[in-house]
Amino acid sequence: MRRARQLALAALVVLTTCVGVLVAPGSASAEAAPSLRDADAAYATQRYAEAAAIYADAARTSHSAAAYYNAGNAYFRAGQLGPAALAYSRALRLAPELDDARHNLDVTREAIAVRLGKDSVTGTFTTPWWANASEAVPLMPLFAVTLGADVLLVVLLLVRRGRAPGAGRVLLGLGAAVTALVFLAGGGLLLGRIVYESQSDDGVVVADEAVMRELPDVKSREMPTVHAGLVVRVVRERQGWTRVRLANQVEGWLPAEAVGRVIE
Amino acid sequence: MRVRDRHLAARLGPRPWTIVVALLVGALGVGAWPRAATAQTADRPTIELKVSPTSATVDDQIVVVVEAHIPGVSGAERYIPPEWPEFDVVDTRRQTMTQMSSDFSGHQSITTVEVRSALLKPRRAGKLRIGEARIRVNGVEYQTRPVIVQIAPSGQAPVPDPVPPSGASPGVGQSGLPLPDASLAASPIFIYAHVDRERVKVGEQVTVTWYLWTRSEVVNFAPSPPRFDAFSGETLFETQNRFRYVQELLGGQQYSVAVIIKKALFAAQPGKFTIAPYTASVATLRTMGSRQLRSNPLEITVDPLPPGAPADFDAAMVGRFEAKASVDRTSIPAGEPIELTLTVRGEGPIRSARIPTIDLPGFTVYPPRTYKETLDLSGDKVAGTRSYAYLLTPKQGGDLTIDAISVPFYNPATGAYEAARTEPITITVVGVSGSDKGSPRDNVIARDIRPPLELAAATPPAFHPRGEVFWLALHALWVPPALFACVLVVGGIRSRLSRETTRTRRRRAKVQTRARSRAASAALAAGKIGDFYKALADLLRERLEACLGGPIGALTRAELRARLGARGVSPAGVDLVIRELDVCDAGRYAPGASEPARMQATLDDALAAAAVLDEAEAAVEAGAAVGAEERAS
Repeated sequence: MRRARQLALAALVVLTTCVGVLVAPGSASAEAAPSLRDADAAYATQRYAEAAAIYADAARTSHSAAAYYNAGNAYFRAGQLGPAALAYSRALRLAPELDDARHNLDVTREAIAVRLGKDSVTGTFTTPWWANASEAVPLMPLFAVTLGADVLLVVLLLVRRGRAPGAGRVLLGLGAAVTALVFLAGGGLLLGRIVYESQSDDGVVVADEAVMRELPDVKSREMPTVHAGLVVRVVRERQGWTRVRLANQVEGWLPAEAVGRVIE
Repeated sequence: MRVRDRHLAARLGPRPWTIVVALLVGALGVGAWPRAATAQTADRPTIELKVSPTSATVDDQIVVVVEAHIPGVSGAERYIPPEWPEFDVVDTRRQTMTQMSSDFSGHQSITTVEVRSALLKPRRAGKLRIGEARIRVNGVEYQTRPVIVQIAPSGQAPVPDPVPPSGASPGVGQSGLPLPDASLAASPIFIYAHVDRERVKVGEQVTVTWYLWTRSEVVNFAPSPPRFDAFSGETLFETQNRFRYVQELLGGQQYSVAVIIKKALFAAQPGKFTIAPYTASVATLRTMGSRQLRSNPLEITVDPLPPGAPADFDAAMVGRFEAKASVDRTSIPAGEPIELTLTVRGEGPIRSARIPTIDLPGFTVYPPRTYKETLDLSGDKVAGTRSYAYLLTPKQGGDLTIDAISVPFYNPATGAYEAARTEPITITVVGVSGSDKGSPRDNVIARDIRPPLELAAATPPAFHPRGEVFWLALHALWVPPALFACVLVVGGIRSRLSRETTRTRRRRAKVQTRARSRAASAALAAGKIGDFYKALADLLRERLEACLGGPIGALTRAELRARLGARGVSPAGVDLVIRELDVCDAGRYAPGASEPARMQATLDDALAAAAVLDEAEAAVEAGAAVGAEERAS
């Protein structure tokens, strides 16, 4: 009887978790279909600026990598290479495995180099090892494994509680220990991803050309000129200006409209 | 009319005219708006002659349908039927209807549709001619083309329709559209994919068209076009708001056929490629809900270009091209640049072309940063123009010649590498020879981006730390541990509550005593002597078992006295207990006096005996607790 209660409780745990996970995506539900169809129609008829605006709006609302990717394509076709590079960067931030976005970003940067010239900024931005580790694993499978380990751990502990001491109880305990390690590892990676996302300050220059300045003032001393597609780090923002840091650690101010944050 | 022909009856059933007319009406219903729209757009009458089948035997019957669409309500002034001297007329029918339609801007138009049909029987075998049908509208005559019908002798199989010489498709319909396999006629609606060529060279255009074949009006069409990872492409035609149908016969069935999309594809590398099926969710007037349609996949073999390409050959330049060069001025002061505009025009994937690298002796050439491009997608071939503006600075003065610029390309028609050449241009540099300015930039291969992704009709929200979905789902992680914690807490509480302590035992004893006392009182009030003494006996037994820690049923009175004494019960208390036990036994098994007052006194004494036993039990437990504390310390 007690064993049956334990098993029933374990089943309740699994069911509640599944319902919670399955309901959650449905409750934050989808974009209105006509907007995306309008965007597709605009793209197909070469009204690229209009398509880009709709795709970008849909992407902003739904945080959809595919929508950002399509917005990037529309911006590219419309000749707006800076916004295209930003859109592809946003798509890759949401879905690092999206090879098409990576390819198109490369093509965009090549086109920028041809049209506007290459930026001679040496150096690279470094990413913490734990951020690289957390981004290496796709988010949905990572979450699924962590949640699965969570549920399995509780089920194993409940079942173990109802068993008499013996080999079965020992095995269940070992299984629970392994599952707990998996859960902790997955949870750690998830936490790392959340922290990295919240702290991320990557930006992309969207203006074709922009002159960096020493101070947030058009009359202040000019610094290097940067071109569309250049990756920068946003340091802070103030009254229509954005302070950025280049990969060579040079910092300066750019007009706010010349820089777009990868994370909106 | 009796249907004499068993083949037609087998195809159409026992009432062929009913079905033929129903098909005609259905086809008209399907094709009405687009056909009216066509008439509105064209603003002129149309007449069409359809014959089915075009290959039969002398025993078969031939259906001839003449359909005329005339703008307005008046109809045709005169109708001249086709001549068919080698056929006997079995039956004729005529139907006239008026249709109203509106175009995208809401403008309405009226069209009169006249349908005349005839059922004919051939008189002999051979190639028999059905002549033109004509109508006269507003003094102008319109006519169809004649149709030749192949009639085989009786008992022989009909001669199959000849395959038209043009295409890679199995057959061509009367409207000029490629016909799919007749087995598809089993389906009332399908998507047919057709490719103009199944084998091309790298960079050569292959045109893929997807047709919608339907027997009833489409009310909803949600496409999911395939991706073309191995190809770059241009859309030559795509239906925007409403399908424009033409009528075709397939397997004896009348279909309305419309182009969904036509694309020009260019392969960037050799190999065998499959163009995935075009899928769409379609709802028609005849179906309840939508159904998924899938076209046939297409196999395309792309051969590499032949060897021998020029050194500066651009793989995107496959087609036919011509080039022209011009300068902004022919006389310049020394030290100043001139702008050379190179215009390349032609048919081919010019959008994928690189900026040509040109090397002109006597000049320093600065390649352009941008170019102007126009595309012409109006025909079946992708054509376009690219204009590149180069800056040239002469290296010396005097009369200089800008040599002819050669832009190599591969011509699939001739199978050879050719070159589009410009004419040489002569300029004059006045003054001292100039000096180099600027610095050359790298020439970059102009790759193209990959096509857009197909977003689902409803884009699901992304699963990402910046999305609501992620945070909602994250809550699921604490649910299992929380439930487990609840299980532990609830289990602990239950365990604590069910633990046997002194307090719980004493509480239980009190409850039992009260219950027995109430039972005895009730029996006393009811006059049930047996029940009364039984209740008292049970009460005393329970208290004795609790005090002595075990059953007492097998003990004699002497043993009972001894145990009670050992438990610390006073002699008076022992006597009271024993006496009450004896009274209860006597009352149960040898009922005697039943005075209520006496019985009440017995009850009181029994309760007093129970109290004595409880005190003894408590004293024993208190002593045990003290002993345990002393041992612990």
